[in-house]
Amino acid sequence: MQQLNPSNSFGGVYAATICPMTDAGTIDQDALWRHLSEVGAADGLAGFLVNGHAGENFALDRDELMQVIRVARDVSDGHCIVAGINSEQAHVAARMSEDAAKAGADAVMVFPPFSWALGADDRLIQAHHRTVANASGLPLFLFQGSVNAGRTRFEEGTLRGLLEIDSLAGIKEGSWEAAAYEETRRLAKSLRPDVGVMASGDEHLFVCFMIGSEGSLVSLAAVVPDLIVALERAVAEGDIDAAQAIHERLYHLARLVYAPPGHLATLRLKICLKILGRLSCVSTRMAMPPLSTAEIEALRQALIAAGCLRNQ
Amino acid sequence: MRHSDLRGVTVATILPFDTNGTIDWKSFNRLLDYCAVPDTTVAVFVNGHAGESTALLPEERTAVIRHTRSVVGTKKPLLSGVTANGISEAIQQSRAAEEAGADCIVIFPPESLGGGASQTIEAPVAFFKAVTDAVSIPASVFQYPLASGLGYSTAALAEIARLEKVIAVKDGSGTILAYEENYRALKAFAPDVAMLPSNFHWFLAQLAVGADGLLSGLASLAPAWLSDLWLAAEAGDLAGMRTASDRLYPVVRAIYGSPPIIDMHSRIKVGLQSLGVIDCANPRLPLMPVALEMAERVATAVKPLDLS
Repeated sequence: MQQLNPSNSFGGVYAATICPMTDAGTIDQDALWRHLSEVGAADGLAGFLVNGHAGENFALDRDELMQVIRVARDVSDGHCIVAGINSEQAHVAARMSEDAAKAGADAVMVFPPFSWALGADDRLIQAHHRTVANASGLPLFLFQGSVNAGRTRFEEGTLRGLLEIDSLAGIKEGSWEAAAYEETRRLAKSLRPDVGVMASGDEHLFVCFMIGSEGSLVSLAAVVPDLIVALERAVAEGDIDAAQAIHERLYHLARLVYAPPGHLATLRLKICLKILGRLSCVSTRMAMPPLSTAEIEALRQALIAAGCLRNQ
Repeated sequence: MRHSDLRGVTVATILPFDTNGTIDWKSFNRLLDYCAVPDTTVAVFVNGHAGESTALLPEERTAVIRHTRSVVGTKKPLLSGVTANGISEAIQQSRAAEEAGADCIVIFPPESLGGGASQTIEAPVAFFKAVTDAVSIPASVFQYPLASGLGYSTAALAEIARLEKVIAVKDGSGTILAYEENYRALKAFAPDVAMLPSNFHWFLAQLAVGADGLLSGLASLAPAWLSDLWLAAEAGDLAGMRTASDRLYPVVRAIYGSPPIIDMHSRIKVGLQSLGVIDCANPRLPLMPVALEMAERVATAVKPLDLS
């Protein structure tokens, strides 16, 4: 199943998966197993990013995070598993990193905790990443946030420091803007050609793949894994027409799922999966009333436009 | 002229001055030979930002149009910028451009569309209608960076593009998403209007999304390299696009990478001076001469462009 990008051992397309919940707000383990199995069945998918933002990493406790990784390991058919770590506390993040190794993850990804939006010191950011990297010894991914994410996005100097971490394997490049993506990519390629730059702004996959990438870790692939893999492959083969045709199918869906407020993306992804008949309950850990009929209908129409659903 | 005449690279020319601040026509002739005359350039745009239009007197703008026509001839379309503060001056500049022989006006957003007016649909559409109604030559829209506060919404741009005389949009929105939204809107509502990427850092991405030409001040400095990128995109040759983009990137970063971005055209002048195309790189006020350290950086970056 796994189709590695030859230029990088962690290359290829990873689905950033969601975490199904019951109505009571607990993890629905069976639904999780099914979700990962269905996504993992996509031909050529390299792996899963579990416990990312789409997986509500900020709302799960340590046991739950491990539980998700174990299910992913169980489901995996040669898939690589990257486990997200999102904790405000470095010592907790270190324990999570050890947990991830025990539960069978192949790599860990550090998410910038939200207090960094207050303005984190570069020394703290460096230490936090190294603490996580050293705790488990697993290969490390870092998360470069959106140009609109304020101070949780890394400055060039911080990126330079993080690129010195020996175990760094890849960057989830979520700048969400083509020019900024290219800057990160060129910086990483000049300092650490072995580090994979993974184009992960779901709305901008096509142009970022065109600029160049080793793959992608994106939540859109939790809904349409085949299309994302096909898009990445088409660009890798230099087939611009085919890539543009896939981009055309994805465009409105991506615009809707990731429209402001971005925090709703997880819920919208779950609703898409429900519309497609792949998830029965769209509950999240967020204190969020159901979306309106109009919002849900817009997602349904986008799935039809993407060719994922027949109009009924 | 028609929108399809812009399919290729349109050069936004800089305007050289001598050390006294007077237009240096001899240097300008060499510049036009370097970037406007070659076959890789399909159209010439004068009196824009790159040409320091706002620092020119009306008679100087007219002289630039006439002089450029005398060098370039009539085979290539000649576009001229309209950089006015308000409606009366915009109409005056547009009529002067037509009288001087320009084939098309490129309308910059006036200061008077600030304070939120540019964000409405009605105000910019009415402005463009009034200006384009006052002349008989076609017009192109300069879409400013959204961050400037003078960029138009996609809905307003689509309305403007449907005006009879509008044949092109020079899009400098400044984000790839806005570019793509505008591109899609033009294709849907005004398919006979050319979309011209005009954003230095986004060229490859913009061409990937789709474009009907390319308009840039960078073509003053690297006309052949930009043309290579355009031709690779036209051929659907991704490897060729990346090669052309990689070659341009250090020049792009040297010109546009460091604040203040307003210095971009002065940096282009420094590059052209170091290549021996123009004699003096000084801009007119309030632009300031490029600091020595930056000038050296630019000179280093443009060295591979030196074919002599």
